[in-house]
Amino acid sequence: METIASTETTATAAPETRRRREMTVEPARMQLNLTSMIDVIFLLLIYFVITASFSADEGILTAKLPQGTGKVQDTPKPPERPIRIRIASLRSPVECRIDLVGLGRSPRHFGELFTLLAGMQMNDGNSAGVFKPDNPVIIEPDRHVRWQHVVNAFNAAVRAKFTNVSFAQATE
Amino acid sequence: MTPLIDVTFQLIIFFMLINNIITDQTVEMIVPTLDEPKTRRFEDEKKIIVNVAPIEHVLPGQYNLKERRDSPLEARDREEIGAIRVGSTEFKLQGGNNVVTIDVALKGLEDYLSAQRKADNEIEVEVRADCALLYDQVQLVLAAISAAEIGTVHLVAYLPEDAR
Repeated sequence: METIASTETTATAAPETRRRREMTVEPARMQLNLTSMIDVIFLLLIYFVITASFSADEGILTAKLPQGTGKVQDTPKPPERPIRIRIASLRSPVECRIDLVGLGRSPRHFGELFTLLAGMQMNDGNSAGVFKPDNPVIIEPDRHVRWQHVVNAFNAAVRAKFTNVSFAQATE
Repeated sequence: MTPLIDVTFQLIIFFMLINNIITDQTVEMIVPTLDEPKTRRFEDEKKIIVNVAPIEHVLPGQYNLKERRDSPLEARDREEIGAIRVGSTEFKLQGGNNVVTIDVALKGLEDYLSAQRKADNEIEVEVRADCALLYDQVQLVLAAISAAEIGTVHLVAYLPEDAR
């Protein structure tokens, strides 16, 4: 008896309960889980940070070579008297001896070489100069001179605004 | 969370760009440091970089480039060319496998540059040589470049401090 009564109660109550449940159920929402993506991004970032390399910036000095001879210039070509800068190696590879051949000057360092070259050049600011800016300047290093000193001599000539600077064959 | 991801992407892009393809053209070495340099930047796309590398490049286990930075010219035993690299072609003169003689390397360099010059007469050549190399060695490379009928080269050195 109780069962019948309870069944009747359940049958009349079920549709209302279902309606109430339908009204309160929220629609399903799609969510993107970002955690894995962030992990991958950080791994990539760590890789690029570790493999990045920073170095000092490099520039250039423009030099002329004689064309097609197969060797650097070993004989100067006048008409002008070339300025010959001889660089000799010393016991210490850090140092070198610099001589201006035929001019009787031996600068102690490349700063002094620049000063001498600038003083010798004839231009608007220096009428006492002897050599024109396009006068040939030949750098004659010996075989054991470091490349650093050769480029330094070249730089000194370029600083002094000589436009015709070249290298000679290595001397003994 | 979104701004964090944005910043992280920015950092990734930055580091990807600085790890650029051009580093593949250069070999790690110490180029000359000059007194009052008159060097200038050179960004021509048609340039060819001739790397004249010291022995560290081919025998990295025996020599440490980073240790040499304090006194780069002191290296008595690193005065000779270890390798000449131009583009993706490398001629190893010392250090293990695929070693060639200096004559073969210079001829290869001359042929490569001649071919490039014939393809484009306006190419520019940069000579990037280690500061400790002897002039005796580097002048051979200059002679090979000259034999390829290239009249102008650019010598690489560090920029002035204020230009870096």
